[in-house]
Amino acid sequence: MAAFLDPAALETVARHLNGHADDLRGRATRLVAAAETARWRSPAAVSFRDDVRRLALAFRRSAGELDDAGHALRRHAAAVRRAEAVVRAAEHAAMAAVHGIEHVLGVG
Amino acid sequence: MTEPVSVRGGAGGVEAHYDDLTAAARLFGRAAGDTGETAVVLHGYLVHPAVVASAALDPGGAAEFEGRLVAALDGPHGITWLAARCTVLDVGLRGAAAAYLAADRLDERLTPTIGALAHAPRAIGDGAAALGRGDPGGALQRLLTEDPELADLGVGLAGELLGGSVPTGAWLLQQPFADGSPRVVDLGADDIADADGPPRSLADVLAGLSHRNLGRSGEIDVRLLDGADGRRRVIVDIPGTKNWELDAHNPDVTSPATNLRAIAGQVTTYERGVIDALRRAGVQPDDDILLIGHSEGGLVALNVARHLSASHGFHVSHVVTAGAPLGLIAGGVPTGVDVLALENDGDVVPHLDGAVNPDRVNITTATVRHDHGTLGANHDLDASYVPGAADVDASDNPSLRAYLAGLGGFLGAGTVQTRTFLITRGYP
Repeated sequence: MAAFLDPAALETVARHLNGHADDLRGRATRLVAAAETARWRSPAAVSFRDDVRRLALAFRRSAGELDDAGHALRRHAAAVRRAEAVVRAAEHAAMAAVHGIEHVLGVG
Repeated sequence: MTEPVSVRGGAGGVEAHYDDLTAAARLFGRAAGDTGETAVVLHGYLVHPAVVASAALDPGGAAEFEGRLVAALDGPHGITWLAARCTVLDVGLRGAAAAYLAADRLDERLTPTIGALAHAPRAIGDGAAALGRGDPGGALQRLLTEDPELADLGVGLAGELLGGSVPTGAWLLQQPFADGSPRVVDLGADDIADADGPPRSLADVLAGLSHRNLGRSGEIDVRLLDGADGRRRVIVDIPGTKNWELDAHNPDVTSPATNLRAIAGQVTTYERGVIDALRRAGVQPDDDILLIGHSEGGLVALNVARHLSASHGFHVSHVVTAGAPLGLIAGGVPTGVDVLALENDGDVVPHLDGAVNPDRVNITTATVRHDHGTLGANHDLDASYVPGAADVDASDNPSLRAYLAGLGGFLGAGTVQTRTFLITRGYP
């Protein structure tokens, strides 16, 4: 069952998600700066800058959603660790029970 | 009714720098590519082996993660959409840059032609009437004062015949006339000029130039203004051509040897003499300077601003020209220098370069209307440009209001002291 069960790998993915989210926020900042500093002044330029500000908001919203996905994955990894521990404890208890039975029957 | 002033460029105009737009477009293109790659990588996490394998132990948690990641990726305005949107803005910016470049070229090529054609019927009619009265000189004057854009076409044609362009033609024509080197004499204070006090309007500024224009050939002045804010500002008055003699060696710096160089943006002896006068007057590197010139003096003023900004020797903040043909060189003025080009509608001199002034935020061309029916009066400071400056003072055009607001420090000084200098051309 647990051939690919790897909570550490899930946490690594979560870190990558947060890294991508930071990249998106940085990209939004650079795009807004480029739009604001370009020497372009006209009604079309005003409309373009409004577009870029909306785009930057969307970038930041997506970054926030990626962070949320990362947090969800961390919670999932923690749940997997807990489930894994329960399974291991059950395995341990079962093994102990088997050893006890073997000892009673004198086959151990 | 026709407005007394029409305006091109300036703070109320359109500004588009091709290089800035294409640089921004490149950034958006790169953002589109990077964001697209991010979307591909993130989609891969949806089927990551660790995620798939762990779903059996915590199906609810895995489903929540996948739901949130799918929303971030493919929801409305998600990352996939962001990549596409960046591509759209990249393409739009490139299109805008190309359109502005094409429009700029078209505008600078066609404006003189369109203007000439628009005015031609009336100009030809009035010229023919004067010719019919046996007055060929008057006929030519009517033709050129009513349709000065004809000069643009004529100069452009002459430039092409001479050397392929107006600057090349000017270079060929200037060869017989040596420019020499400047000799600058300090003529001292001008108490008469100072008696009127510091200028309070653009018309006052032009009146000061007109006063200097009454002096000798090559006479300029440096007006030192002490502002109420404790800062010192400087106005430099540079008159235009007073000597038309075509001598190979002409000591008068206002002669054609200067015109033929300054119109193409070359450094001239007149220009170097102005800079020497600034030093002798004690102008400091942090004093704001307003250069004002009439006709050839306007060309020299603009070239001083262009070349001084490169050397950082003095701080030219403003230039005002009256009746000067700036079209070939105004585009090279640094963005930190605000230029106001006054052109009288019936004055042929601003058209002698065969080019229109560029439409830039820092270059405001104000065309005033004071038609006296003769070439001389239409180009004259007192008859046309001082009243034209008063029209600008009274205008509510946003570009002109912005320019005058920037000039405010020069128009609110407490005291003025004028020093005059004589610039002549020397030969070794």
